[in-house]
Amino acid sequence: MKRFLSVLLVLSLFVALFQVVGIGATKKYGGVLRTAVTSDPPTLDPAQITDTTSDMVARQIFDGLVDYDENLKIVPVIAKNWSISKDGKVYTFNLRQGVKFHNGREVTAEDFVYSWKRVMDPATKSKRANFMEDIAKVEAPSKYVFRVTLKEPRGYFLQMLPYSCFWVIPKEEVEKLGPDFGSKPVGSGPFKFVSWTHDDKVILEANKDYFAGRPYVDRLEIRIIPDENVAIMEFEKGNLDWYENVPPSELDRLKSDPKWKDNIIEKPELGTYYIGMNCQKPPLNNKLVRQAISYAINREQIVKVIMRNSAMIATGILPPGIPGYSKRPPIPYDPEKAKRLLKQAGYPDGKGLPKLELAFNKSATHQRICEAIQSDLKKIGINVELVQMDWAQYLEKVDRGETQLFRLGWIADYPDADNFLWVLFNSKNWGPGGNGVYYKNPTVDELTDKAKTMVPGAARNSLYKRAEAIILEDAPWAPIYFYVSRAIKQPYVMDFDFSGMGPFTAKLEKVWLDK
Amino acid sequence: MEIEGEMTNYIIRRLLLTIPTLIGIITITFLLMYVVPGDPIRILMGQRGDPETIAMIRKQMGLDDPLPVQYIRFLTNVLRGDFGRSYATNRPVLSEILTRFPATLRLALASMVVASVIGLSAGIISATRQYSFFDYSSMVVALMGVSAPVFWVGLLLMWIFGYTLGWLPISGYGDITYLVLPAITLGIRPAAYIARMTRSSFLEVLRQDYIRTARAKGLTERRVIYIHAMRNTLITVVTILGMELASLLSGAVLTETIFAWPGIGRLSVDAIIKRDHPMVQGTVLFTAIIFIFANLIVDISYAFLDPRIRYE
Repeated sequence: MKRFLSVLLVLSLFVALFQVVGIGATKKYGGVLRTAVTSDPPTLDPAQITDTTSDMVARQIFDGLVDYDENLKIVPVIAKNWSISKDGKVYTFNLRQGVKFHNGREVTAEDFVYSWKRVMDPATKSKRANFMEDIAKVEAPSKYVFRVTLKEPRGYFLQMLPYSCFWVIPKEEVEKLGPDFGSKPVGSGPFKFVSWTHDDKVILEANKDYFAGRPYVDRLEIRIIPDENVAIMEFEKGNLDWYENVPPSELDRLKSDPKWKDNIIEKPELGTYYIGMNCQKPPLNNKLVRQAISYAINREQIVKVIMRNSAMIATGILPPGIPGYSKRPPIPYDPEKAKRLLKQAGYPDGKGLPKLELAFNKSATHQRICEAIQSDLKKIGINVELVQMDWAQYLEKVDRGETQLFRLGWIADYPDADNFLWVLFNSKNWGPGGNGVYYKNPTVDELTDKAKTMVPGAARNSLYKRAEAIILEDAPWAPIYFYVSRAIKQPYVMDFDFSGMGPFTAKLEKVWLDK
Repeated sequence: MEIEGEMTNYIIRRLLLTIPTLIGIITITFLLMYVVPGDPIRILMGQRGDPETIAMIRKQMGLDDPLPVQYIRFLTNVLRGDFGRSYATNRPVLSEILTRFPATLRLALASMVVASVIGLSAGIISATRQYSFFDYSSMVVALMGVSAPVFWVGLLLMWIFGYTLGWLPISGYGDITYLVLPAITLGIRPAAYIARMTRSSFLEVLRQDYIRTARAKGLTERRVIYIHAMRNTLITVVTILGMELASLLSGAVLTETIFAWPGIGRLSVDAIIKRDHPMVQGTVLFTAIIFIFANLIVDISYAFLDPRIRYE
């Protein structure tokens, strides 16, 4: 009897186990996955994409050699595997066989040669032609081997490759459609383009011949809803399945609602919001004044009250998730220290300091943040005048170095410290290239130049850590907060996840609907 | 016969006059876009604007040519019917405008229906029952209608009828149900305006001698109001309707934004923000043409409403 009971127990355990596994494994095919973006994608031509909205739509249609996984690790896509020469200059990618464009033709190495050369060709007028500037040669030694030779070794080269300008496109379709390729794209990705009513919606359908297996959902419907509050109403009413631009004002309510609280996905985003200080303009060319400003800003207040905890207090330049990130305590709010620094700089209680201009581009959030900073700085005797302007005018002002204090946010193009520390602080990149604070420190220049050519790893990261520490001490930036990206989804949306680059990188082919 | 000839001459003259007007508008817009700070290519590149790439693209697009060269090139292209391609999307400007026009037209006409029905009836009832409760309350409501911000009205209607009651779609473009809330949102302001204008011009007309004569003849009050008084009031109303329609046809950016309606308003504002010169030119020219024609139609309609008006 005892034996019988134990057999029964074991059997029932097995049954239970199979049931659990069974439930977990039955992913359902079919249905429409609906989301919304805030603006009409300017283009779906990979050579021209510079914004995340176009990228979100286009990445469903196109594929590249590699991509990031949810943890920002580089994973193969059309490239099966790759090797890097000892000098770090030659990358050889072995391509998968049988990957097909949506027109039925097989993707070969020649297609990558064509696609990349098209971006480099001035006639294409690609706004990302500069992403190819490290490349000396692209070639296809055989049908399934694609080889790239760099001018100099670049530690971040692989990290750049998921960017849209490196995706593969079919030559015959580009030649047939000409400039309209960006409106009727043909790629090799998990979804095929169906239709696009500008300012209304884009519809894509599952590519049943996708090399990695067909996507679970039959269709993607991407609506264009400019107002985020309206989109949230549509979401709550069940008319959208997931949505990424949750306004901070709605976040507390949604997080405390039992229906949604487990369906909000948040991840640190690779971006930093900062106040830039023009290092060439007096009195901001004095390091002590810049440090004083940074210590006088109450970041906690900004994040809590204005951002409603939808961001993280900045602890440095590099946000968490970037290799080379150093864990530090938040930059303290210390008005007394700020006052001492000002005194040391020769401006006791701000006496003798001219009124400083703090510029920002028009937006209610930027305005509130800048007003908070204005009031913080007033407390240590620095008078600040707020100047707001539209984005086009603002960019020009920053590029030309006509600013004193200004606000900006930098979000990584690719997850590598070079994209922050070289791009934003190397003196070779003054002006529109990224170093809008016109910062120059020979040691930082040397460290970031050297790290650019090194292979990824601890040695390279240590150079970046040193460079970052020097920059923080020099204080050309007062970093305010690190961005957090988030998306909200309906409870029936399964296997929805995205990388630290943001929800626009969600792999929608993996998503299935449990309803 | 004579009147018809007079009218044709008038129309031809008016149409010929539009040519210098349009050239003037093109020139002013062209110059304005170059005076306003902001480089379209730089904006498209986002924050990381590689100077060499910007220079390369500007050269390819002919943006570095001297201003007169660019102006002549632009003007000759426009005369050939080629408005160019958008800097931002590389799509033809004309097709971008024309694909959005049906949505704009639907919304404009629907909101004009809302405005005329509500405006005229409220105005007439108020005038005929001057100082009554209805008169006071409808004029207070009209004042609120004129002063309420469009986005507020839109969000409120959306929240009540779309989100809470679920009777109508919250936003988007589709069948007639999608049209109701944006049309009401957009129609409320002109409705209020029309109501107030109708009331005052009706009150004026009702005091005229011919109305007293009509009443003295023993005509029914209904006939006096709807046949005799109405016709003379309509001139004011038609003028407002014409101008409102023209402005609605050039897009209603706030309503379009809230209701995610794919109209011309969003297109033109976005073009200005991005300094998308060809698109700004295209939308401005399109708006100008609409205004010129709306004016013409309003002027012509006067002759039908008041035969005393002659065109010379």
